[in-house]
Amino acid sequence: MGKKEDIEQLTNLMSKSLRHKIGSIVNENEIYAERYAKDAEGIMKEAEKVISRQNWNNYDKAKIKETLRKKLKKELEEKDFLDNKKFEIMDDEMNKALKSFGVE
Amino acid sequence: MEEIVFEKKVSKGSKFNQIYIPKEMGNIVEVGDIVQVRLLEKHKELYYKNQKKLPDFKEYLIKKVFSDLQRFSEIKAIFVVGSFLYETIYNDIDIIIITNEEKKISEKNIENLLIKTFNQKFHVLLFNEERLRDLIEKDPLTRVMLNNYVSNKKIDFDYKIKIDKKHILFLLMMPEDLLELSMPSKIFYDNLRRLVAIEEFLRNKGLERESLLNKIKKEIDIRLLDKIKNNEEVNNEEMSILRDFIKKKIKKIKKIMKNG
Repeated sequence: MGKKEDIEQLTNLMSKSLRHKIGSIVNENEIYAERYAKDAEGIMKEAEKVISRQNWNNYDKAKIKETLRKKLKKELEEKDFLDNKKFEIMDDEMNKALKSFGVE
Repeated sequence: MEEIVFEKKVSKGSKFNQIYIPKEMGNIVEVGDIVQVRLLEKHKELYYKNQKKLPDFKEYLIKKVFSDLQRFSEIKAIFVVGSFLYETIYNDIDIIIITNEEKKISEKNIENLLIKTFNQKFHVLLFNEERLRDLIEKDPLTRVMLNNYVSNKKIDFDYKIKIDKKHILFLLMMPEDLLELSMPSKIFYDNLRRLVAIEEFLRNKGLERESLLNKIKKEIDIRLLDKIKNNEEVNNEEMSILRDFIKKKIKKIKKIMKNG
C-alpha cells in the first residue's frame, strides 16, 4: 500500500481510537473507564501496525497530524452523548498518541 | 509429660461446638485430662453463584487466594469471575474485590502479590460497595460478569437495572466501529457478546453466559463463532455475516432505547 492510503487508514484508526479514549475520560458518569479503555487500545494496536509500514518524513508527519485532527474533530462532534469537555482535551490526547508513535 | 498432638476439625454440636478425640487415643487422652486447643487454619468456605462445582485443584487455588488476601483488613469480599470458572485453558484469573471506603491498597499491588505467590496471571478490580452497585445497575457487561462467581462471602446482587442511555451509546461505539474497521476477529467475538448482553439487559432478561451464547449461535454458525473466538482470520463472506449481525443488533438496541 502507498503512503497516501496508509495515511488514510492510519488516521481512520487513530481518530476512532482517540474518540474512545477521550470518551472514557470526559464522561464523568462513564462508569467503567478502565475496562472500556481496552476498546481504544485494541484499535490503536492496529494503527501501530500501519505506522510501522513506512518511513515517514516531516511532510508526511504534518499531513498525518492535519488529517487526524480533522477526522478526530468530526468523530467527536458526531458523538453528542460525550461531554463537551472532549474538545478541550482533544489536542493533548492527539499529540500524546502521535508522540508515542514518533510522529510529531 | 510426653507431648500428644493430633489434628481434628471442629464439628457442630447442639449446645457447644466440639472436637472428638479419636477412639484409639482413648487411653492417652482420658476424661478429666486438661488439653489446650490451638487454631491452626481458618475454615474457608466457598460460595457458588450460578456456577457448577469446580474441580478440586481450582477450588484449592481459590481457597489459597482468599486465604492470602485475608491479610488486607480493607477487603470486605472477594469474587472469582470469568474464564477461570468455565474454561480448561484460561488466560488469567479475574478477581473482583469489594473494599471499604478508605482503601489503601491498589489493584496493581494485589495483582503483583498474587502473581508472585501463585505464578499465574491475575486481573484484579477493586470497588467500594457503592461503586460496584452503580456498575451492576447500569453496566450490562458487569452484570454478565457477576452473573456467576465463586466468593468468600455469601452476597447477592439483586439490584434492579437502571438504563443510562449515554452509557449504552458509549458501549455501542465499538460495535459501530467494527462495521467499518478491519480488526482481529476476536474483537468481533467480544462485541457480538457485548451486543447480545446489552439487548438482554435492556429487555431486563437473564444474562447467563450460556444463554447469551445460544442467542448468537441461533444466527451465526458455531464453526464461524469458534473461528473468531480463537482469533482466526475470516473471509469476506464470513465478515459480512458478522457485520450483518452487528448492524441488526445495533438497530434493535436503539429501537428498544427509543421506545423506552
